[in-house]
Amino acid sequence: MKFRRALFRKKPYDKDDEAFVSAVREMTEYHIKHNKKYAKLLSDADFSPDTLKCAEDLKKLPFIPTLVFKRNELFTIDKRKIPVKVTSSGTGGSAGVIGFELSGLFCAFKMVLKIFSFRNLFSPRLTNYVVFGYKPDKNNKTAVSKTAFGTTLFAPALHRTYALTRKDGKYEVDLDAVCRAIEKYAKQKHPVRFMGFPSYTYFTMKLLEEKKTDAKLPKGSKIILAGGWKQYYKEQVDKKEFYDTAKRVLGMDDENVIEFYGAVEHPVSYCDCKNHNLHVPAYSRVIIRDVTTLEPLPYGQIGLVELITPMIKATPITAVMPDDLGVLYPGETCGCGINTPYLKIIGRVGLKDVKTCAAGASQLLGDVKL
Amino acid sequence: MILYKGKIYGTEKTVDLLEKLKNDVDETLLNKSIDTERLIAAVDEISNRISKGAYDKLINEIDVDGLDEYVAAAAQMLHSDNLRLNIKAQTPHLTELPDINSYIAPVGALFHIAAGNVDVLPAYSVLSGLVCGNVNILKLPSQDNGITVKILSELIKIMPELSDFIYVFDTPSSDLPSMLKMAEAADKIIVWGGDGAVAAVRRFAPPQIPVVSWGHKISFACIGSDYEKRADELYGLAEHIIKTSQLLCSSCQRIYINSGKPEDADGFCRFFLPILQKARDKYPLKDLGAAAEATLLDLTAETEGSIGGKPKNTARKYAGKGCSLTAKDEKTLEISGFFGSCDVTSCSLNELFNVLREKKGYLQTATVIADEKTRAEFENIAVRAGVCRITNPADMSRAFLGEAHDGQFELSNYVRIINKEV
Repeated sequence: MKFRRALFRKKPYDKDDEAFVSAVREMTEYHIKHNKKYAKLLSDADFSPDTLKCAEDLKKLPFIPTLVFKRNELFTIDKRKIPVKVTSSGTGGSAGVIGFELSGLFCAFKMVLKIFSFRNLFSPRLTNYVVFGYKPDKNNKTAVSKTAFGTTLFAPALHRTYALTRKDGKYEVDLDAVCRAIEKYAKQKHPVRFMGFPSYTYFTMKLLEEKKTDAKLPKGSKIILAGGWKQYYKEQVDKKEFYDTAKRVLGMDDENVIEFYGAVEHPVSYCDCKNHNLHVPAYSRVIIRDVTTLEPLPYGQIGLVELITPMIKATPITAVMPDDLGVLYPGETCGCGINTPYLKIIGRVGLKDVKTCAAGASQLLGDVKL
Repeated sequence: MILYKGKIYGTEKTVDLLEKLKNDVDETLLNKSIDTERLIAAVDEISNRISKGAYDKLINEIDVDGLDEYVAAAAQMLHSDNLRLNIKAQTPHLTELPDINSYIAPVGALFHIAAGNVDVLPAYSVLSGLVCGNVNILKLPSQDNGITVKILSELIKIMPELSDFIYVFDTPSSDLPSMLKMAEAADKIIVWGGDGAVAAVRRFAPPQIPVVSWGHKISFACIGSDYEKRADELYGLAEHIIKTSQLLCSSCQRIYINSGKPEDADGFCRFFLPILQKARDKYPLKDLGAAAEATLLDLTAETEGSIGGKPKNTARKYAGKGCSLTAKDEKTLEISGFFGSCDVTSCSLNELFNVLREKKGYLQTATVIADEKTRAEFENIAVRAGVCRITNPADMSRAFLGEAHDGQFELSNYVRIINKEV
C-alpha cells in the first residue's frame, strides 16, 4: 500500500491527482484480489483497475450506494480479523457495519491530525464540552457517538454534558439539562466547545434565547457541527441565521463555528474553511452525478454525491454514493486560499412524499399506507 | 380530523361518533335523498371558483409537477354539462322489458378507503358516490394533508343538506374495530390503492359487503418498425413520459419495439433519446430528491444483484440530461425508474400476448406508434391480453369525459338496478 501511504503523507489540501489515482488503483486492485463479491461487481461493470490512469478515469470506477452496506456485509478482510467495526447512524431505518483495519485507521488518524491542525482545533486549555449527540456506552457502536467523543479529546476535557442520554434503554433528548450546563459553563473561565448535530445545537440556542439566559461563552469557545440535520431537515435554517443566533445568544463569531461533513462509509473529514465552504481534502475526490442518469455533472449543478477515497482495505468503500444531494464548485471561487473544489450539501434524497398508482411501485417505494 | 354531519371534530371523538354512525346513516337512507341537479349546480359552482382562482392557496399545497394542467382538467370535468354527461355515460342504460320495470337507485352507503397515493382522490371518490345519491363514509389516508376535509366542507357550505351524506374519519387502518364499525354501516366498500391495501381490506371486510377495488395498474407503448417516420407521435410519447414522471397508472413504463432482434431496442433508444431530451428540456425535472432516490434504489438493487451472484445485468443505458432510456432484453412488463427513465425492449407482436398475460389484472393503458396494419394487430393482441384503454401516445394519461375506469364504468358500481314486476 505504498501509494496510500504516500497520499496520506500529503498536506490536507495539496491536490495531487497522480498520487490520488495511483492510490485508488492500488486499493481497487487489493479489493478485487481479496473480495470476490466486489470483483464480480467490477467485472459485471466491465471495469479493470488498469483503466485508472488519470483523474478523469475516476468517473469510470463503479461506485456503491451506501444503502448496500446497510443491508449487506461486504468485508474484504475476514470479519473476525477486523479490529474496529463501526455502525452507521441508520437514519434511513437501517444501519450498516463498516470494518476498519489498523493501517486504514492510521491513515484516518494522520488525516484528522492534519485537517484539525489546519483549523486550529487542538488546544492545551482545559475545556467544558457540550455534546449534541449520544452519550457513548458499550451498547452504542455508532460512528457518530464515537466521533463526537473523539472530538472531545482535542482539548483536555474538564466536563462533558450530553444532549442524548440513555434512559430505560432508549435515548432521550434533554435540552433543558443542556441549557443548565451551558449557563454554568458560561460563568466559568474555561472555553466551551459544542460538538454534534446542528439541529440540537440550534434548538438549544433558541431555547436559551427564549429563556433569556445569559449564555455568552468564554473566549476561545467553539461550536463544532457534524452529522447534518437528519430527521429535522424541515426545520433546517440557513447558515447565516445559524451564525447570527450563535452571535446573539452565545456571543460567538462565525469564525468559531466549524462544520464537518463525512460518513461512516466515507471516513474522510471535510472541514469548512474560513468562508464556511467544505473543500475536498487531498485524500478524497467528489463527483456529482445526474439524479436520473448518474452521468457526471459539471461544477455548479446539483446531483447525487459520489465520494472516493483509497483509505480503507477492510471494506470496499473506495467509491461510495450516500443519499446526499450536493453541488461542487471550483476552489478558486471560494476566496479562502484553498484551491481544491468545495462541496455544498443541498439535502437528502427522498421518495417519501412521492405518490404513484403505477403497479409494481411498491417494490421500489414500499406499499402506500391506507 | 373528523367531518361528521358538516361539523369538524378532533379524533378523540372517534369512538363516540362511530357508535352512532350506523343509526345516522340508516336514518339518512330512510328519509333523505340527494337532489342531483342541486348537487351538479354546487359542483359547478366549485368548478367556477377553481377557474377563478378561489382555491389557489389550497390547490398549491398539492405538490405535483404540471399541477396547472391537472387543475384545469379537473375544473373542466366538474362543469355541470360535463358532469351530467359523465353520469349519463357511466350509469347503466336500462332496456324496456316485457314483465319487469327497471330503475336505478343508489347502492346505499359507501365506505371509501383511499390510499394516499393521489391527492384529492379521497374527495373525488366521495363525489362519485354523491352523484349517485349515496351516503359516503370516508376513512382518510394516513398521508392526507387536510385537503380532503377542506374540499368536502366547501361542498357542504354550498349545499348544506349534503352534511347528512358525508362522514369522514381520520382513523388509522390498524384500528380494526373502528374500520369494522365503518364497514358495518356501509353497503359496499370502495378501496383505492396497491396490492397491499386491497388485500388488507379484503381480509377485514364482512362477507356480505361487496368490495370494489381500484388497484394499481401498469401501462406501456408499442412501436412499429417505421418509427423514424413518426417523429410527432414519438414526441407526444416523450412529453407524456416526462410530464407524468411515470408515476400514474396510465404512465408509459415500457416501450416494446415490434422486433425479434434485441439490438433493435438499442437502435430505438439512440433515435428516441434526443426526442425525450427535447421534452425534458421543455419540462425540467423539479423533484430532484425523489428522482435521486429512485435512481439510488435502482442502483442498489442492481449492485446487490451483482454481489449476490446474479448473472451480469445486460441492460444498456442511454443517458441524456435528466432523462434516460435503458435497452433491456428481459421482456416482463415492469415499472421503469420513474422521472423520465424508460425501459425499451424488443418484443415481436407474436410474443407480446404471452408477455402481457404475465401482468393480467394490472394492464391499463397502451399506445401504439406504427402503420395501420400493425396498429390493428396490436390492438387485437392487447385487448385480448387484458388492456382496457388504448390512446394516442400524447394522451395516455389524459382523462376523457365519460370514459370507463380500468374497463368499468365507475359510477355503475355505485348504483343498484331495481326490478319491479309490472
